[in-house]
This record gives sequence, structure tokens and C-alpha cells, in this order.
Amino acid sequence: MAEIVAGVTASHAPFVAMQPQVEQAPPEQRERVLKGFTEARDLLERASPDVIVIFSNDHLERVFFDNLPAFCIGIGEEAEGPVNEWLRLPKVKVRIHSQLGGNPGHGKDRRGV
Amino acid sequence: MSLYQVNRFLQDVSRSAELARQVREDIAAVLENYRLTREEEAALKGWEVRRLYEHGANPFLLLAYSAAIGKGIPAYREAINQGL
Repeated sequence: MAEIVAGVTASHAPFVAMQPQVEQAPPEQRERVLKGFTEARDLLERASPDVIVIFSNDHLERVFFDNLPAFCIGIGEEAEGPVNEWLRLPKVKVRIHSQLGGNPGHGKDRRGV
Repeated sequence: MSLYQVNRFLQDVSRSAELARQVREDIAAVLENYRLTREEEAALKGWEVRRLYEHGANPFLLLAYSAAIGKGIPAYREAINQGL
């Protein structure tokens, strides 16, 4: 049986990592955000999870109105982002725990989703 | 139907640096690939963000598109809030 060892919630706004937004942010705000992410990283290092389950919002980066699911689970061996090339962020590849992601029948809500 | 095409255009450009480059160079040529009304074409050519939004274009796609073609987020913010 899996054990939840840590929980983190954070903004995913790309501007927290982009220039010139980071440079132009009020210093106290920038320091506060950086401190928060540092604490989150330390928490994850202490918790040492085997798998990280990320809930995020696609906001029309990958899906479109022709096929807009309530939930979309990433499966496969790896994923790369960001998709939008105007985001001046280095592309990052992450490995996917495809067995966990592709496991049918777990987490069905009362509507059978 | 054409509003779907507007959003389709916005997303396509926001996801491709090459398409964004083509739009900056010659938007009319790119727009030819989409089934748009004359009003929609004019609004896109003129980057009339507020008009497109009120017409029903998705505001997040407008944001991503605007950033992709080099308008900048502050300019988008000003444009979408026009008249408020």
C-alpha cells in the first residue's frame, strides 16, 4: 500500500522562473517566493518520495476544445516541457512512472471517471 | 465554427516558434490556412485583443499568442483591459 510522504502546493506560473519577470519583481516578493520553493525542495528531499504525483492545469497547452477531458493522465516513458516555445525556459524532460499512470481502475470517482 | 478556427490559430501560433515567426513576417499568409470571417481576420491582423475577446476568443490563448508574437505580457494586459 502506498504512503503519502509529503504534500506541496505551489503556483505554476512560469514567470516565477523567467526573466525579465524575476528581475523586475519587488525584492521582498522575489525573496518570499524563492524561500517557499527552497522549503518545498528541502521537504521533498527529507521525504525522499519514490514517485511524485503532480496535479496541474493544462490551460490549453496540449489539449484543445475538440477533445477536452476533465482529467488527463500522463503516461508513457517521459515527458518534456514547456510546450510553448515563447516561454524562455530551458526544456526539461522528466521520467514518467508509466505503470502507476497507466494503471486502470484506480482513483475512479463516484461517476466512474 | 469560425470562432473555433480563431482559437485554433491562436493555439497553433503559441505552440510553434516557426509559425510565430511567419505571423510576424506575413500574418495574412498564415491566416489563409484558417476558415475565418473577414472581421476575425481584420481583428487578428490588427491585434485587436479586446475585440477578439468580446467576440469569444479564449483569453488565455490570446495571452499565449500575444507573447509568442512578441507583444509582451504588459501590452496584452493593457489591451485586454481596454475600455474598463
